[in-house]
This record gives sequence, C-alpha cells and structure tokens, in this order.
Amino acid sequence: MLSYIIKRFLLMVPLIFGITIISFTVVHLAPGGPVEVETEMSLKASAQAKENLKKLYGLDKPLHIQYLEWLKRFVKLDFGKSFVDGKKVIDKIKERIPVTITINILSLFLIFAIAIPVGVLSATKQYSLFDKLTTVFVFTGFSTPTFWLALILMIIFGVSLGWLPISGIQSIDVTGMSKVDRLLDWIKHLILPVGLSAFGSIAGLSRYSRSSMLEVIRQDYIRTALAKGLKESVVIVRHALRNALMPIVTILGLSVPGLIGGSVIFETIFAIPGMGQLFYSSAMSRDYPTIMGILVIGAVLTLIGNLIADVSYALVDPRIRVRK
Amino acid sequence: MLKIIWHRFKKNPLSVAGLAIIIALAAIALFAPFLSPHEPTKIDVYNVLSPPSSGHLIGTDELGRDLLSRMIWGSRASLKVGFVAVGIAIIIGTFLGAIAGYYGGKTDAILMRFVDIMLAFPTFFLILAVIAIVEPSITTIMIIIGLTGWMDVARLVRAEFLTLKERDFVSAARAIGASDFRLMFRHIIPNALSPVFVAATFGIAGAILTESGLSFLGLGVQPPEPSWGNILTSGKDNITVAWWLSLFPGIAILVTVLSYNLVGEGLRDALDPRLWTSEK
Repeated sequence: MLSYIIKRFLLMVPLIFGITIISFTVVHLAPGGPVEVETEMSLKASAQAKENLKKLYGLDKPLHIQYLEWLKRFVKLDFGKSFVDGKKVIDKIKERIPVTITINILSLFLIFAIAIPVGVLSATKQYSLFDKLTTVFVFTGFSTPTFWLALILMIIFGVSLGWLPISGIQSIDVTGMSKVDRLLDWIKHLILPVGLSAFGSIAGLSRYSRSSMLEVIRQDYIRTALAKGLKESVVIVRHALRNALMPIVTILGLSVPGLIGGSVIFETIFAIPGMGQLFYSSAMSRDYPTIMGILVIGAVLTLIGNLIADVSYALVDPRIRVRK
Repeated sequence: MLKIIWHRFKKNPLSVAGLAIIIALAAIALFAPFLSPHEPTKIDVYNVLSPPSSGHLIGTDELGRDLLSRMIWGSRASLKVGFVAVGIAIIIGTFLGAIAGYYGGKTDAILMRFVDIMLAFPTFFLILAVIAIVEPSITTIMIIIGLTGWMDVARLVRAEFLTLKERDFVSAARAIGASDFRLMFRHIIPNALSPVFVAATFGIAGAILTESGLSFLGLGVQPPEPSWGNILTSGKDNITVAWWLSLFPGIAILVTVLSYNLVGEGLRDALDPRLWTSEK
C-alpha cells in the first residue's frame, strides 16, 4: 500500500512541473504587462520610468531566465511580492486559503451526504416517482447557473425574508458575541455559499451513484445474496453499496477543480474574503505574482484531491493495490 | 443513417422538446431586429427600473432600457459563444486525440500527460487569468473557452482511435497505400464522430454557462452589448429593488442550457449502437 502511495505521489511531480510552465507562459506571454497598468494612469510616465519599473520586477530579463528564477523560488514556496501592495504573495494566500478550503470541504460533505443516498434510493426504486423526480432535479441542477440561483436565494432569504445575511463570513458586531453566538453567526453566513457551491455537484454525483448502483444490483452476487434469503436492505447496504461506492470515490477528485474554480464566483457574490475573491481582484489589477501563485496552488490542490481519491480508491478496492 | 438516428431520437419526448426550444432560440437570435419591441441600447431616463408593465413586458433596467429587447438580443451572445467555443474545442480535441490514438507510444504518452496537466487546472481560474490580461470581449471568451475545453474530446477521440485503427477496413486502406494522414482523416475520423457529437452538445451547454458566469463577473460580453450574464450583473446591483432583472435572464439561461443537455442525452441514446441491436 505504501509503495502505491509513494508511486502515485512521484507521478505528481512532472504534472506540477507542467502546471508551472503553463501558468508561467499564460501569464507572461499575454500582451499588456503590469508596467502598462501602472503607467496608463499617468500618460506622461517617461520611457526611463517604465524601464526602471521593469527592472524592479525583473521583467527585463529573457523569459526562460525569469521562469528559472521563479521556479527556484517556487520550490521554497516563495512566489515573490504582490505588485499591488508589496506583501508577500504566499502570506496573502495563506491568509485567504482557510476560508476557501473550509467552504469547499463543507460542500464536499454536503454533496456526499445528499447525493449518495438519493442516488442509491432512486436506483433501488428505478422508475418510481422518486426516481423520476430525482432525474428532473438532476437535469435542472446540471443546467442551473448557480450564480443566478445565488442571486435568487439572496433575494428570497436575505432581502425579502431577512433570515440570512447576504455578504461576508461574520457580522460587524461579532466581537461582542459569546462563542456560541459567534458560531451561529458564522453558520448563518455560510449556509448559502456552502449550499450553493454544493448544488451543481449534488446533481452530478447523485446521477453517477444511481448508475453505479444500477450496475451493481444486476450482478450475480447480489442475486445470490437475495436468493439465500437475506433481507433486501441488508443486501443493498452491505453487499451492493460497498461496491457501488468505489467508482464514486474517484469523482471526489474530479469535483475538486470545479469547486475551487467556483469559489471565484461565490466569494465575489457573497463578499467572502477567500482565495477566489483574491484571485478575482488580482486578475483585475494584473498582479502577476499573485495570479501565478494562486493558479499554481489551485492546480496543486486539485492534484492533491486526485491523490486522495486514488489512494482511498486503492484502500477500498484491493484489486487496484495488487495490480500496480 | 440519419433517418435511423432521428427515429431513435424522437422516442424521447423531452429531447424533442429540447430540440424545438433550441430551434426557436436560434430563430429568435436570427430575427432579433424584427422581434425586439424596443432598441436594446436605447436609454430612457423617465423609465428607470420600472417593473413589468404593458409598455415594457418584463420591465426595464437601471438605464431604462427595455429588458425583453435586451434579452432577445442577448440570445445572440449565448448562441455565438456556445457554437464557436465548442467548434474550437472540437477541432483541437479531435486533432490531438487522433494523433495520440493513431501513433500511440511516446507521442500518445506526451499528449496525454498534457491533457492531464490541463485538466488539473481549475478551468475557471485559467480562463480568468487569461481574460484579465487580454482585453475581455466576446471574441476573447469564445477563444479561451475553446482553448480550455478540448481535453474531454481528445480523450474520447483517442479511445475511438485505439479500437478503430486495428479494424479491417483500416488495414485494407493501408494495404492499398493510403497515407497516415488519409487514414486518420478520411477513414477513421468519420467513424469516431458520434461520441464527439454528443460531447459537443453537452459542451455547448457548458460553454453557455461559463459565458454567463464570466459576463456576470464583468469579464465576458461587455456592456452596452447585452448578454444574459451581464444583465444579471445589473440584477445583482439592484437586487433589493428590481427582482425582474435577476429572474428573467436566469430563467433564459436555465431553459437554454437544459435544452442542450436534453438533446445531448437523447443524441447519446440515439447514437449508441449497443442500443440499436437490442430492439427492432
């Protein structure tokens, strides 16, 4: 098992390398650099001043040298300093990342807690009313622009009913609250963002667990288990579910990039100070070092998600361990 | 062939309904100048944010522009982005997938690692990074959504090639001296296209969603040119006073994307040869 994990881990290295090359190329080959942004405010900025700025940021060196220097620092997790406020990029990201990861992990739990039972139930009761309703929900869920749903829910629960706050992760008067109130306040702020970022994946995953379950309950060993007189519920939970869940685990890895990417939209809508919002504002101000840092970290987080998925797949399915 | 596909496709009433809606939307986009009751960019300071009424069926926006007209014209943006972006994705994906599957070995390994790397990026991050640097416009997002959306197609085409290249008709063509290029593009690709069509239909749905999200963030179609996504931006800005600005464009996106997804689902069943033999 350990050798499988190590092997799987080593496979990540060339991918990370490729990720840095692509992010670096994308950000640096595009026309219009940080120097242009800073000087377009004052049209009279002299050519000399522009040169100085370029030197300061190391943008005057050839691209491959810039990349190698960047890579050297990347190994030490040093992404340089932000063009905007001079703070270290890694510190900015560290400050923002816990919120984003918390929201994503909470959404993942929600996705699994809802999607798997729904999928399993509609598979065991195929063509029932429940199954048909789920199918309708799945297709609508797939097709709903979630940022729009966010707006509608904000109108209903935030504006009309006033039940839930519509921005930030804590109230302004949070310092005067007791611990319990503070937790409640935090939960209230997170209900909409977490629920919404889970929404799209719930549809996808429940469809997936339905078809995975349908495949399993047609297998011979299920028929055998039923034939020897076991109760249907026992067969479903003990025999079928375990086998049906295996491929679902891989979906965990696949849904990570979507969740992280979606954080840009949710954090912007709900004014949540996370990585997505930082990325949006950095992109708007062409803050190269920060864009690079977040792009790479986002991709690495995805790889870690994939790794966890693969390893847990190997844990539940001995065939994977032995084959590799 | 087409007849068989249609015969199978029309067995699914929801997919047929989806197709009807798509055709209707295409007609609306095409005849927008004749259908829209007002000029989509005409500002009317006396009718700012007025609720749905007989003059403006679904209300006006913060500049007094007629929402219905803006939505009719906005359907053009969705349609354009959906088709062009997916077109780009399919060309790249088919080409790379064909090369990887046909040549195999090192070429295949390198191309597939490239696919893995591209898939590791949260696509939305990559798109956002590029769009923030290049001037955002409808052309930019069409190209970028295409450039970041070809990986699934490449994998599908590669998988088809792996089985097809061993088939007798390919060996026969090779025996009479057909070049690699001819084998790939004249003989194998036409046989590998059905999963690509299905992926393309789902791809259009995805591209329309991405476009609306980007336009909503101000990084897609730029005002005053209307798109369903950027109308929703003013919906958000006026969230407490003008619900109609948030409601209608969202429903339009939902219905459009749903239609493409339903057609994709119907197409998948209709094109799946395994299902053909099971019935008469």
